[in-house]
Order: sequence, then structure tokens, then C-alpha cells
Amino acid sequence: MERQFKVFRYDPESSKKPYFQTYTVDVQKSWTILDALNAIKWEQDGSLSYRRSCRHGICGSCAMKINGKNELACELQVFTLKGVIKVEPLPGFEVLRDLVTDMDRFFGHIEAVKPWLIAGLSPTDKERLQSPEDRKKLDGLYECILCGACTSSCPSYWSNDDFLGPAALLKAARYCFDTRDEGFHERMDVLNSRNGLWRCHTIFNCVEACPKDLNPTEAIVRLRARLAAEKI
Amino acid sequence: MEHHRHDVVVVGAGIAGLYAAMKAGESADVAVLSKIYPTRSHSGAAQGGCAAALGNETEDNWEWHFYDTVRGSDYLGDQDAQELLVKEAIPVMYEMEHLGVPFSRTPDGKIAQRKFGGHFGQFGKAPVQRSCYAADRTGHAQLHCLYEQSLKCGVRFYNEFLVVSLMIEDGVCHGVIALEIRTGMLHAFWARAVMLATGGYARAWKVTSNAHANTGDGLSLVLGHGIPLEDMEFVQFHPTGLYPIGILVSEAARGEGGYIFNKDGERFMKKYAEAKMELAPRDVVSRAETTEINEGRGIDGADYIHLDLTHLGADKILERLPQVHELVFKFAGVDCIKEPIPIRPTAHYSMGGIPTDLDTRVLLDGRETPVEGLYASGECACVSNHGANRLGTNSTLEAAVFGRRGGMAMAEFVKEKGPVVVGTAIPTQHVEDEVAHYRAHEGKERASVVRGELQDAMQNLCGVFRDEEKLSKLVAKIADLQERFEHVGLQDKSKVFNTELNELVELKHMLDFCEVIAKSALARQECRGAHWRTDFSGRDDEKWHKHTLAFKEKDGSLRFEYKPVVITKYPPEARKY
Amino acid sequence: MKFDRGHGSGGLNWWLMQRVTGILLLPAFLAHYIVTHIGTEHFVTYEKVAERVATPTWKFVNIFFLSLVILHGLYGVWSVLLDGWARKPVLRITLYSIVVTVGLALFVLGLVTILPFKA
Repeated sequence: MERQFKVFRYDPESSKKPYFQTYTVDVQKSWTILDALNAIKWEQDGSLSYRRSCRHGICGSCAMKINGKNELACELQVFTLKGVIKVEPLPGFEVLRDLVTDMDRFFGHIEAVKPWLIAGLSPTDKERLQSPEDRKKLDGLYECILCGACTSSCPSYWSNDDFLGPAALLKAARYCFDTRDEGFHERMDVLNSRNGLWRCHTIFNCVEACPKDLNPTEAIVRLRARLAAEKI
Repeated sequence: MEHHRHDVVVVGAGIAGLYAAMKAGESADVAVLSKIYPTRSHSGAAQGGCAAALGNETEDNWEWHFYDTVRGSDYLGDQDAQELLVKEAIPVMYEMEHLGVPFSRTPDGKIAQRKFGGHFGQFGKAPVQRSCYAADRTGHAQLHCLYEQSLKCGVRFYNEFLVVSLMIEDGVCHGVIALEIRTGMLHAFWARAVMLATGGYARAWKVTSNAHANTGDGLSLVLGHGIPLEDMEFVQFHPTGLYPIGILVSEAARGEGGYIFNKDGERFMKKYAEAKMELAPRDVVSRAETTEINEGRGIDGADYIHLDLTHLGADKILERLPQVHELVFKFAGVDCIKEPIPIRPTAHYSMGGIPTDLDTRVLLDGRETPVEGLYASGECACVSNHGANRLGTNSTLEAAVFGRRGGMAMAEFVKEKGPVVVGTAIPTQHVEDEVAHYRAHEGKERASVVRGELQDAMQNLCGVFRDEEKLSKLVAKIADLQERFEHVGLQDKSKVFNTELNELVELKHMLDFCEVIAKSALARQECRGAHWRTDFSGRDDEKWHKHTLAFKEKDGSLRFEYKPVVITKYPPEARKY
Repeated sequence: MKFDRGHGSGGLNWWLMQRVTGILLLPAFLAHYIVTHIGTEHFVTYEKVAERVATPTWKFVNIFFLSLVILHGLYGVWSVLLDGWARKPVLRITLYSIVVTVGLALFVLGLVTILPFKA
């Protein structure tokens, strides 16, 4: 079936301003948006640039704005959308080219929350013990694929891109709520900074945007409670 | 060209590359070059687990794991490497737990373990729970953890840099030249030690579980320097690729008790592996499935069969296999709690690769002479742990164990040799010319068409079952495609994020190593592990119990040599499951 | 790209203040409404209100209520400014001064209204 795709185009090397280009694609049953983009690139216009890799929603490369919502192009089936499909880069990030955005700031923010286990000495010849109940506390936190859909959907981040953003705060929660971790105090300076936890206004866009159905807002609220409890 | 200097440069940021970077980063100045952001690496797609004989759930020891790995490899693995793999698996698994990998847990708090195909206790008797897992997102959990630990160690990341050339002269590696995708600029990275951890190459098949990025770049990079490739004919087809696109449905689905059925509702594995049924190794199950489909017993006569989990119940599926549940729902519209999953074999893992020794040093002659300062580990390397067929959960294990060994070996080597000096002796001009040539590529052919035909040909002529006629056709087809590659035109002339240029470079790599695969497969006249020739009956240990080494000559032709398999404990025996 | 934590503390105390004042304001508003419109017999007249406001307890209650409203309202305005606009230090300091001045002015205005009432 023929479908139309209105795709955001921008090349900093050309003198053209950003514009939308419409492509008509013969879409097969069960195609995703990524399949359609591949068809455009491979059969019509080799100059279209976008990121992609695993094509089954685990690598996080292909987050983009599709019909106004942040989605993973490789997971979203074409038939679920009606009419002309509009494909744009993730909002809130600098566009490098076409659908490719600058992710360096995003990853810098992830790094800032010290996303590694901070713990004392572990037993040398065995694993540390953790009960299944304690391990369960990480469910909903460790599955993040760092696609950027949440941070890119956050109005607080749009207005202040120094804000850590939901993805970095979710990552902080993944370690802070790991019962093996003792690093909350070390992370506190960043979490409690001017661009940390307090810039979130519980708008819940991140929850809606997350393709893995995670809840960064809840993680942020829990981190705040923990921080308040530690400080007072 | 911009020049950089580091003690160690790691190319590729999957589990192997990051483990190496982290270990070397404890004492050396390490840079990681990756053509995609590290957490995008395909290690993250590994689902079912990582094998180690911890014995947390059922009695186990490394000798049983060793025996299974040897037998799984159809006796083509080098047993010194395999013994190291299974022994070090245990401390490495504990180390990963200490680093923070969120493993699932047993009721008493230990790392949880599950059954997997090909893993048995008491030397091949009953299935054993050996695969350490984090739900069915084990690779994802390990990859992210290692990335984060590398950040902690101060490893420098150069993200979205595509390596286009190795600087090797007189048997010494001095670094790499890479294209910065974002700007189109070339950078020279000078290093005392370079590790290739560029991953697998099953992207060369049409139906594959692999990511778009899995184009085997490291293999053709070394091939051009006179370094051979080992055992390239052995490519694993995973029995449970989701129909039709081929993405992976974890073997954990069978490990947790899933059954496979043909159209008659028959658990047909009883005909092919009477004792172990669905838990036989992957080559055995993939052949069984393909036979059923070829003989018209696919579901509705089509080319797929059913994987049934419905008897496991919703609770077990959602707790142990949440990603499987999500994937098959999103990509096939199937709720696996209620319905069977349509599956078929999918190109999955490359057993062959760049020959290395036990410290991951790349071997110039494929036997014992290392290239100074060049290392390789993970799927792109061939130590050889997996021989003719890899056991499930031994891949992330190999990446971790040998990535770690490589990292330590490189750190040691840097200590010994001191920091590298930025040289000028090695000509870099030819790389600039080569990339300029790629950019200027004009012609009527399209890279996607050439690649599509290559993938079709590999799929149809070099699949689960092979024969001389098919493979000869394939060799001719690849020669034709290589010729047509010269006439591929590039539409994208921009320097900024020119992904068409990347795809062109990757296609060149694919054509290079596919030629090696096809010719290696044509040469090997026997059935062993994943390489099954229908025009020969069975394994031929007398003639073929040896590794293939393919060298590229100056004139571009391939020369084959063979080297003996290292046997320390288990001489070849008949392999029945 | 390195994360910029910004200067000073992030606002745990202010955030807490906003929650506490918010919670306190709820019953305060309710009480205000009940006392003024239900608790007062028949018509609300200036005299009746003036009489009540003149007592020391009610003076204290009203000043407390006034502080809560000003703190809560202006901190809300300030955080909106912080989010969207006030990125540059100069602008930040200017806006902060304006917010504080407005706050103080309103508080003084409230005081001079409440305190003069005599029984």
C-alpha cells in the first residue's frame, strides 16, 4: 500500500534552510517506520540520514518524533498511523543532519550522576548476596535503553538543557535504589544541584514518551523523598 | 588529518571491547572508538544469559561445562582456549556481579541460573542450570554496566568514529585511522596497543538476528594486511528467529521449558535429538526445523514452525521472559501467553574470525607469530572457543573472558613498551585518497541493490544446508557483485553524517569476507557443526579435523592453509543428543 | 559534553518550603472561607470583620497566612522564571531582586493593613 512520509531534512553544508520532503513509499504489511525510512534511503534518496542499528527496540538508536510523538522508529508499525506520516528529529536536541541529533550532552548528563555501583569491598570469591525482593526494586529502572525519547519530551529540559533530564535521573535511581549501592551521598551534590532533581515539575511527558514503558517521573519523586529524608 | 595519541585504542564497544577498555583503563590511557554510541552495540541484544558453572541452582562444575563446550563445537574448538573459557567464567561472573550487573537472584540471594541448549551435567547427562541471567535482558544489563564502569575508569570515548584502516608496518601495529562520521574528517589514532572488538557479521544474510551495524568491519581490515581469517565457513543459525524478520526469540524460551511443533502438532525434535529434544545445541535444532520446513511440515505449509510457551503460564513468562513477550507482541502481534510464536532459523553468530592466541594477540600467520600491538576479541575473533558451533550463552561469556584477558594483556604490554610516539613514517595519504575515492564514487549501481543481492545469495546458497553446486554459484555471484561494486554511485555528497558513505564502506567489508566464507565453505568437504554439506555424509575427522586459514594474496586471490585443532583432553567422538 | 551543575544548592529547602506552605495553605483557605462566609452571622459587614481582625490572635493568624501566600506564590513565579528565562547570571540576579522586592513590598503592605486595627 502506498503511504506518504513527510520527512524533516537539514544539511548544514547546504545553504538551504531546514525543510520537509515528501516521499511516497510502497509499504508492506507489518512494516515499521524504520523499514519505510530504509526503503526511502535505499531505493529513492541515499542522502537521507538517520541512526539505526538493532531494529528491535533494544539499542535505542532510532528515537525520533513521529506524528508529533517521540517513538522508536523500529518499533512503530506504519499501519497504526493514518494519513501522511510526519517524521522529525527528537525535539530539544541540536539537529546535526536530517533526523540525526547531537546526543553528546545527553550522554554527558548520564555520566554526571556517577552511573556505577559505589560499594565497599565485595567478597573475593563469591557474588554479593541480594534477595529476589531487593533485586525486584531494580525492575523498571535498569531496563532503560538511553534512546533519549524522555529527555527530549521534557518541557523543563526544553527550556533549560543544563537540566539533568529524566533519563539521567532514572539512571541515578537505578543505582541509588540498588541495595548493593552505598553511593547516595556521593551523588547527592549533582542530584541536589541547581540543574538536578528540583527542575522537574512532574509534567509526566517522559512517562508518555518512554518506549519501554518506564516511569522516570516516579523515579525522580522517589529520589527527592530519599534526598529530603537524608538531609533532614 | 588530526592526530591523537593513546596507550590503548579499542575499536568497538560491545561487551568484549568495553571489558578490555575497562581492564586496560585501570593503568593505561585508553580510548574506545565506536561507529555507534557504546550502548547501541549488539551485545545489548543478548537475552538469555551468560554461562558459568557456579552451581547456584543445580550441582555443576567447570569440567562438565568444558565437556559440553567441546562437544558443542563438534570437536573443532581449541581445547586449551575452551578450558580457559569455562574456568575463568566463574571468577568473571562474580566480577561482573561486583561491578553491578543486576542479575536475577535465587531465593537465597545468589545469581540465578537457568537451563540452556547444549548444557548438561555429569558429562552430557541431564540438563543443568548454568546460564546466569538478568531476566531476559542479560546482554543489555552487562553492556550498560561495562560502559558505565569504563566511564568510571576515565576511558576516553570517541563515539561515531568509523575505523577505515589499520596502521600496520613490518608486523607492528601503530594505530588506526578513523572517519569521524559527524564531520567527515579523518583522524589518526596512534597507540601502543590496538584491540579489534568489532563484532559479528551475520548481516550478510537476509534473515538475521543481527543489527544493521554487524557488518564484520574488523575482518576485512586485517585481511588486507596479510593476516588470515580462521574458520569463516562456520556461521550459526539460531533456531528461534521470529518469523518473518528474523529478530531473536531467546533460547531462554526453550531453556524455561518451551516446545517446538510442526504443522501436525508434533514435537518433532524427538526424531532428531531423542534424549535432549528442544535443548539440543543450536545447529541440531536449526537443521531439524529446516528439514521439517523443506519436507512441507511448516505451519500451513509455509516456511516457519511454532514455538509454544503457553503451558508455562503468564507468571513465569512475565517474570523470566518479559522481553520475549514484548518483542513477539510488538513485532508479530502474538501474545505468547496465549498463542504459539512463529519462528524459523535466523543467521545469528559467526564462530570464525581473526585468529588470536590465548592473550587475544592477533596471529600474523594464524598459528603462532603475533602482530606486535594488535589484539582481537569477542565475536570478530577466533581463539577458537566455539569451533564449528557455539553453545548458547557462551558468546557473552567469551566476550567477557577474552575481552578481560585482552585488556590485561594490553596494559601489561604498554607498561613494558612505554607510550607510543606519534610517527610520520606510515603513509596516511592512501587512506585519504581511498575515502576521497569512495566519496567520488559515480555510477548507476546502487549499494542497496548490490547488498540486497548479496544477502539473498548468502541466504539461499550458504544457509543451514549447503552443497557444491550452491557454493560454486555463490562464489561466482560474489565475484560479479565485487565487480559491480566498482560502479556503485553515491548520492550523498555531504561530509556531515553521511550514512550512505558508511554503508558503502560496510558493503565493501561484507563483499570481502563473504568471499572468504563462500570459498572456505566450498573447500570444506564434510558436515561439521553449523557447516552442513548435503553432498557429503557426516563428519570426516581424518581429512577435516583442522582449522581453515584463508589468506588474501597481493593479487587479491585467496590462499588456504589448514592448522591442527588443539586437543588436550577430549579426542573426537560421535556427537549425539 | 560535561554536565554543568550550576551554582549553589539546588533547592531542596525551597522545594520543601513550597510543599509545606502548599499543605498549610489548604486548611488556611478553607478556614478563611468558613469563618468569613459561613461562620459569620447574617451579613458580612466591615464592622464585624474589623472587630475580629483587631484581636491579637487573628492578627497573628492573618500575618502567618499572608507570609504563606507570598512565599508560595512568589516561589512559584521564581521557579517558572528559573526554568525558562533566567539562564544568564545578570538576568537571574535582576529578576531575583525584583521578586524579592515585590515580596517584601507586598508583605509590608499587608502589615500596614492588618496591624492598625484596634478593638
